[in-house]
Amino acid sequence: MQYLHAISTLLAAGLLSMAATTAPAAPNDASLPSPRQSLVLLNWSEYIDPELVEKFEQQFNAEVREVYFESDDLRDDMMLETSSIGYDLVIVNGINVDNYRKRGWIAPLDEARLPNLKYVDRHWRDAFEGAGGYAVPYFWGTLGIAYRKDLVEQAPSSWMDILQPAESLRGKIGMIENSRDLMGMALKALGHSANSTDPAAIKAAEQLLLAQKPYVKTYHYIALTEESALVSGNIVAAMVYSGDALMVQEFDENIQYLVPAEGGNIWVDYLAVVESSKNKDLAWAFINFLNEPEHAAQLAEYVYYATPNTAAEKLLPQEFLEDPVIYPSKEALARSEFHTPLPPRAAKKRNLAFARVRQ
Amino acid sequence: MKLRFKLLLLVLPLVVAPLVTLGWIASGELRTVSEGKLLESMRSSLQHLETHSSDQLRTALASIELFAKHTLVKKYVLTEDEGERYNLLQGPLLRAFASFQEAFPQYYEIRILLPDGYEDIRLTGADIENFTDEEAESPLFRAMARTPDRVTSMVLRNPDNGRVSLFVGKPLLLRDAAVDPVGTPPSLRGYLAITADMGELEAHTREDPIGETGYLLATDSSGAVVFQSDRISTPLGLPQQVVTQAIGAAPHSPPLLTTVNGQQSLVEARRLLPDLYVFAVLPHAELLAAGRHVAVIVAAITLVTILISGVCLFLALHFLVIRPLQRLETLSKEIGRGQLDVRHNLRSGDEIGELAKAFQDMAHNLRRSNEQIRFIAYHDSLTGLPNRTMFQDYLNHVIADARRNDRQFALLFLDIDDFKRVNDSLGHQAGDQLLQEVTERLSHCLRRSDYVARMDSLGEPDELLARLGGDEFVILLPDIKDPHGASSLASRLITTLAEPLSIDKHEFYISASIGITLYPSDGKDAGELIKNADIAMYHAKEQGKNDYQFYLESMNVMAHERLAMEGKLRKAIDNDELSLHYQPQVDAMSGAIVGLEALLRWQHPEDGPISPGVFIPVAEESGLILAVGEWVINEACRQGSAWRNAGLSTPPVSVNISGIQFGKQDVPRLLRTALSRHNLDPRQIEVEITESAIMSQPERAVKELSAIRDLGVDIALDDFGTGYSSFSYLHRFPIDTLKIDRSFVHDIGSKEENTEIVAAIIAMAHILKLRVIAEGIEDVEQYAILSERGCDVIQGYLFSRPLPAEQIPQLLKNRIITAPGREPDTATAAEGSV
Repeated sequence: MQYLHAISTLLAAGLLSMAATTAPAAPNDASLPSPRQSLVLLNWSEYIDPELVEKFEQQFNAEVREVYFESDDLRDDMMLETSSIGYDLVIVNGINVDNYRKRGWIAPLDEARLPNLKYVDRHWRDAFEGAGGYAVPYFWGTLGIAYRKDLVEQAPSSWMDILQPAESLRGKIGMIENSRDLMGMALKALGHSANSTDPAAIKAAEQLLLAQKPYVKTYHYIALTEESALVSGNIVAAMVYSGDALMVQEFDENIQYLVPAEGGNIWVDYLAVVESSKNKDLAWAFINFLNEPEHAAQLAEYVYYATPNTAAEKLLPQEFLEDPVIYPSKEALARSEFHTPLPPRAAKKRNLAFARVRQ
Repeated sequence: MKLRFKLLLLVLPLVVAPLVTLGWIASGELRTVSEGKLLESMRSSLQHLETHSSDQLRTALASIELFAKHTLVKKYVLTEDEGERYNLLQGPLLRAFASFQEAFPQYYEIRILLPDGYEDIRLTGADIENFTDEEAESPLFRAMARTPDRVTSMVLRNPDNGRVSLFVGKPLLLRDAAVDPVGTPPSLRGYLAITADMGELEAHTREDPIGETGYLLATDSSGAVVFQSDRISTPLGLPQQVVTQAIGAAPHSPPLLTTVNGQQSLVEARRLLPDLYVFAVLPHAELLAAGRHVAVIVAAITLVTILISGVCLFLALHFLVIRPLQRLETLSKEIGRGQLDVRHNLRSGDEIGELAKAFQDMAHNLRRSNEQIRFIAYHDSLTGLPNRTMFQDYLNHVIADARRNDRQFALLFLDIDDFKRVNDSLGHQAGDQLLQEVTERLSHCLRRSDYVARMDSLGEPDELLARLGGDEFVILLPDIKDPHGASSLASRLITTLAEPLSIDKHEFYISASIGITLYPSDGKDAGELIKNADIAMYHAKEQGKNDYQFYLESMNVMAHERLAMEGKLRKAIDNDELSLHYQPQVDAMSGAIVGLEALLRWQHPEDGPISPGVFIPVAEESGLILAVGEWVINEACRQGSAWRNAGLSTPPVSVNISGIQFGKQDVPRLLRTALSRHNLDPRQIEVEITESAIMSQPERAVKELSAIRDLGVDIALDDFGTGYSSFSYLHRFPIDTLKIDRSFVHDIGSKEENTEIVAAIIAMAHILKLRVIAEGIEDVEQYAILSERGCDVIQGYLFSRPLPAEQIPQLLKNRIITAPGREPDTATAAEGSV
């Protein structure tokens, strides 16, 4: 359904962009009455504060529309299907920024149009190869396990606890349909690096995931609304991104998050402008708008993720800054890894292994 | 040969010949059909595989075209950067491949090979390990590389999983619109390859049966086996020659007959896929066996049918013809054995049944005739009683029965007293009626009225009344407890017969004498029992008639004596032992001797004198009386003649003629012969004849007597008063003298009525001008009375006893005899009537 929804949104976006093309090009002058411009953002759901979007729309006489993706892989599919056409902005996971760049899907940063880039931590901007010049870090976080402390006999503490689940967890586990995350965490559970290229390790991880498969309730990412399976209790333990756990925690206090003993993944999401966008100026403006320190802080508080915007960080309350879920301990971070680019043929192996798991 | 076999031999061929012909034709047809079916099944298996594989190939070719057109495939091969391909495109493409597989599960392997033969992306089932990524040397790649302008398909064993699979590869010739200028010819970017599972084809090849022993075999064009039927355990190669021949055979040509694996087999081939051939191999032996099997079944059915028909025919013949005939045979044999009351048990209404019925009717008619004959043979026609023959048979039967069961029974021999007299006096017709009446009465006295003896019955013997002949009847009383049973019946019979009976309006009184014998005391066999009963009966008669007598041993002795006497008497005539004594007859008035009655005497050399009272009855019974009577007549004449020749003047000699003699002999002729022989004056001879002798045949008697009178011989009626004593017809007989029976004379002194009767007789006789003689005069008083009453002549001991002939001349000298106080002779009773 989400997929269909995405297509319809895409079509709408396509039509709008065509309309934009036919309309006389207008200078980015807010004072002048001009036709409403629009932006299409390919984004995770619940990953932006609607108030900010509204504020931007008013301020720029624009319309921002979101197309949601469910996982990084599925987003890649969506991009491939239209060769990125129809989107103006895209949230890209760090490891894929360079691929998107190579693919020509994202435009190089127009730093002149991004004055607020100065607030963004350089460390996060360059966290991934090729990311610095093409995308602006959006948020960073960890990959860990969210669970219902009231519904599990023993709280999971490691990836192995859900990969080889105890009786009470079986059939109530949610995983993420993402090659790097799924294979990576299985590898970590087996004591390997999440970026391992060792065929034997990859094989073992495949076996582990295949063995877990019968106990997995779903590979679709959990919803972050009140209807979430984690809230209803249909899923009692799930692989989730840190902030998302806090988001659903609002609906049920019993939801807990942890970075497993083997360590998790440290991820960085970037916001990039799609090369084929006809409203690049507006898009740059949108990125710049989001990086206004107040805006960035508001956004962080909305999504419960750590912001790479240093200025915004100063505006955040102490409570937020000390939340171990948002800002994990040094130990947890030390155990965790970034996804790093893989040698092509190793990537191929992992791809095949993942394909077999998902068959 | 028995009829049943003859009939079977006749009928069986009629059944067998068509059946065998039919079986032969059917067998041929069925064999063709059966062989055809086998070949058809072989063809259809091949056809099925051919269709299946061609469908598979067609689908694969269509599928690969479809897959090759997928955007992601195009994008993928146009992406030259490996990292981009693998990190960005592979995931989505793999998902696309997965969705292909979902739609077409048979494509267990979908791959994209780069132009250099590197296997860039591959989706397979979880269980298949990749053998190598470098596919440049693989046959598929080499084939595709050779013909980069078209789709390549081939059947190969997949080194990754060892399974024979259909490989289809399509070169991906694309133009990169982003880089290449328009008009640039598309260049080879890689190959899309799908690998289809041939499991179904293999399963068919392995499992599809061809007949019972035939099998399928898939090979490549060199004859190397790709799949083979599970029926062959060892890998089997087809000789190249066979492969070539079979593959080269024109479609719809008959299967090739060749040697496979050492067996003559029918081989037919089909090309399934490029370089994949399937061979159906059917051992020729099975085809032949199928035909043989059909032939055997048909032969068995035919044989069974023949057997059943044979048995049915046999049974039908047996029950419809043979058995009826056997029964008929049995029937006729039974009839032949005399079993005439047979009843046939043939229910059939056919000719045999009719014949049996005719046999039966014939037997029944025969039985009726037999019964009639037997009845005639065994019965007396006059009375309807069993006759002597039957009685004797029955008696034998009863004797046997009594002997077996240790029983006693009685035999009554009944003889009607004086029946002869009745017969003589009233005629034979009346005699017959009398016998019928007697039969009637006897029957009533017995329990049963059915006298058809049931000799053949095994039951208790019944009483039986039979007529032996004349007036002799016998009654058999089987199973009596004691002699009293027999005597009481005898009394009843006598009483019954004593009732007056009426014949021709005449009333008669009759009586009967009965002799009784008892088995086993009085005789052991039929002859003895009858004879002894007869003896007893005679004894009863002798005892005064109208009575019964049980047989006693002594009677038999007497009978024996009588028999001995008969023999002696026979000799006596020849031996001159007989003699005549003469008793004078004296004129009552003058005392002059007026006649001499010749009386027979027998002086036996050893036994001495034998009384006439003893031997006369023997002579009468034995018939010797005729010879004796003749002798007497002759002797009397001779004596008379002798006396005359001696110069004596003798009174007439009177000769007694027995009733039997009178009935049976021509007495006048005898007299005439004797008189003439001795040249004697007939007046010198008189005859005395009894009343009863005359009265039995009155007509004949008149004639006879007249003839005697005509000779000049006087006739005296002897023993007058004992018989009919009827003066009314006395005058009809030509007689001269009446001799009053001595029984009247005997009591004449003491019984007044006798005196009066004698007086009346004398008076009547005188009226009829008959001379009257009284005999047996023993005393003076009798003489006085008789002479006073006018009796003409007196005879008796008072005057003289009978004297031998030699004393007669002396007696005659006196001529006159007086009767002064002579003592009566004690031998009076012995003075017979002769």
